[in-house]
Parts: sequence; C-alpha cells; structure tokens
Amino acid sequence: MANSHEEEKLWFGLLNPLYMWIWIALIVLTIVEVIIPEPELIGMEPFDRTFTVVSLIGLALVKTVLVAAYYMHLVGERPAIIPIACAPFLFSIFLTVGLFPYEDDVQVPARYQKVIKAPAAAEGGDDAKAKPTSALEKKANPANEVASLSQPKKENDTK
Amino acid sequence: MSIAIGPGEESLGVDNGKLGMWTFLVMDAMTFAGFLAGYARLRWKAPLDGMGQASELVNTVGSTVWPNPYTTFGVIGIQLTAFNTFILICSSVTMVHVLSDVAAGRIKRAEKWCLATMIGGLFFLGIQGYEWTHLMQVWGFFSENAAALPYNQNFVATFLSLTGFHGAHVAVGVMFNTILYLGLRNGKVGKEQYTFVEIAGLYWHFVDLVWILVFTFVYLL
Repeated sequence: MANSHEEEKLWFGLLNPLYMWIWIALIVLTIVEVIIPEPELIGMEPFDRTFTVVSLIGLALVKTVLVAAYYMHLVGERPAIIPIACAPFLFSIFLTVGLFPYEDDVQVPARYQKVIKAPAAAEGGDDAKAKPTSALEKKANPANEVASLSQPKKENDTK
Repeated sequence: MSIAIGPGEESLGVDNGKLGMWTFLVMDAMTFAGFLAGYARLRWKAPLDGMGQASELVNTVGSTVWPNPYTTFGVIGIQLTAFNTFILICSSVTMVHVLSDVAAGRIKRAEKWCLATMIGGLFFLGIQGYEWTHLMQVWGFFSENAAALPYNQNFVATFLSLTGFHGAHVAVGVMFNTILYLGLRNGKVGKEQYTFVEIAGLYWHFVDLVWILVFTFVYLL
C-alpha cells in the first residue's frame, strides 16, 4: 500500500511555489468579478446583461476549480478521489436542468395573490391615478383558480 | 480479508480520514447545490426590482419582484462583501501555509498561520453578522418599524438560508481550526499528524469554495 508521506512529498514539491500565485489569481479574479456588474467603477460603459451573467458564472467556476485543484490538492490527488469530488457538479447539473422553468408563464394560485399598489399609487399621486389597474388585476379571473403572471422575456432577463 | 478502519489506514489508496472528509464534503456540496439551484429557480423568472412594471406588483408569495442586489445591499454592501470574500481567500492561503509548515516540521510557524486563519474566519463572521443585523433592521424584523422597507419573501428566505448555512460552516471551521491550533500549541499535532491538518484544510477550503459561488449568485448577478 502506498505510503501517504511519500505521496505528500511528491505533490508538495510541485505545488508549494504555486500557492501564492493561485492566491494572487483568486484576488485578481475577484476584483474583475466586482467590476463586471458595475464597470462604471472604472469609467466603462455597462456591459450587456447576458455577457455579465455568463462571464460572472465563468469566473466563479474558474475560481472554484483553482481552489479545488490546488488548495484542496485535487491536482495531485489519487484518481479515486476525482470522481467522488466531481459528483456534486453532476448533481448540480441534473438539479438545475430539472428545476429549470421551461414554461413561459409563472402560475400563481389565485388564493396566494394580493395586489399592493406602488407607494405613489397608495399616496394618490397624479401619475398613479392615471395608471390603469395592474396587469395582475386584469388577468385574475375569479372563475379560475389560477391567474397568469406572464412577463415579457426582455424585462425578465434585463437588469 | 482485513478491513482498513484504524487511524492512518487507507482505502482506495487514500487515507481513511481524508476519504471520510471528502465523502462528507460531497454530501455538503450537494446540499449547497440544492440551495443554489432553488435560489436560481426562484430568481429566474422574477423580474428585478425597479425594472419596469414589475415594481408595481407584489404578491404574498413574493415571487414577482426580486430585489436588485445593488439597490438592496448598496454598492458599499457589495464591496463590503467583496472585502469579506478577500478575507476568506486570504484565510485559505494561510491554511495552506499551516499544512505546508506542518509537513516541513515547522510547528511554531504553522501555529501562527493557524491563528491567522482563525482570525480571518472570525472577521468574516463579524462582517456577515453586521450585514444580517443591518438588513433585518432595514426590513423591520426586530420591531414594528414604520420606515421598514418591503421585501421579497422568496429573496429573503433564500438569502438567509444560503448565507446562514454557509456562515454556520464558517463557524464550525473556526472551531475545527481552534482544535487544530490548540493541538499544535500543546504538541499533540505534529508532523506525524499531518493528515489531520490536511483534513482540517480540506474543510476550510471547501467553505471558501462555496462562498465563491454564493457571492457570485447572490450578490453579483
């Protein structure tokens, strides 16, 4: 059976100089992550929402892999550990696919719905008076158990 | 055929303690995956606050208006959390130094790095505690506050669950590191107990790894 200490020496020689570089990489990636949703901080124009979402998730995954591979020593670990460590990622993918809302409309049972006017409307502002009743009130049909709360896709996906 | 169950014994070519910690981390990661997937599911269709007509609608399950992180936490809040992330990343690198020094037999140095890791964890918890109490006051959780802001129940539930569950892990990690620190100080943990240090490190790095995802999903997106 392999001696653990002999194994440790192998990857210590490989990884020790990398620890600080990984730390610097993690710090730099965190700074980039903070700037992407608010590029105004460094005087840049706001990015497209899709780009923001994809790049933030990508950066988070890169940081996760760096921590798991180098700080948790997966890169020098026995092969038996790798599939065990990867299991949650597969689980996450299945879970996300399973929970993904494929339907366009969000169905909320009517008994859970309660429409509250915006503060301006509650105070009786002129703008509020001019507004028609909410989309929810229009769509809610007492004859039906549920009402549709569909929202245009653009509004859902844009910040 | 003998079964390897004693300290220092190995299964699949890996120390049993380490394998046990990895198995635990896998289970824990799946729990976090459930929280994050639930958060993503609730967040997916809910429009952000202040984005068009959605702001005029609120319902009792709170699924129509999802607060914009930058208006809920404020820029200072996000940057405070980014600083918290920085602290946790630094504490991860100090934990690596603990392991490195223990492997090299530099126990006194390892002790100092371990103390730095504990302080980092406590600092993180302090900032998170401040954030929680601040938000709960804003939302009027503690008292009948006429100036309390309305909040989205789904957001609040998932936010508090995710950050609270993670915070509990940080607290356990600090306790784990305290035991390690006392062991190093009393001479009970040395070069021969290297695997114990590695197991403590695995847990701590996992806490850091999960925070990277929580920070991105809850605060930045």
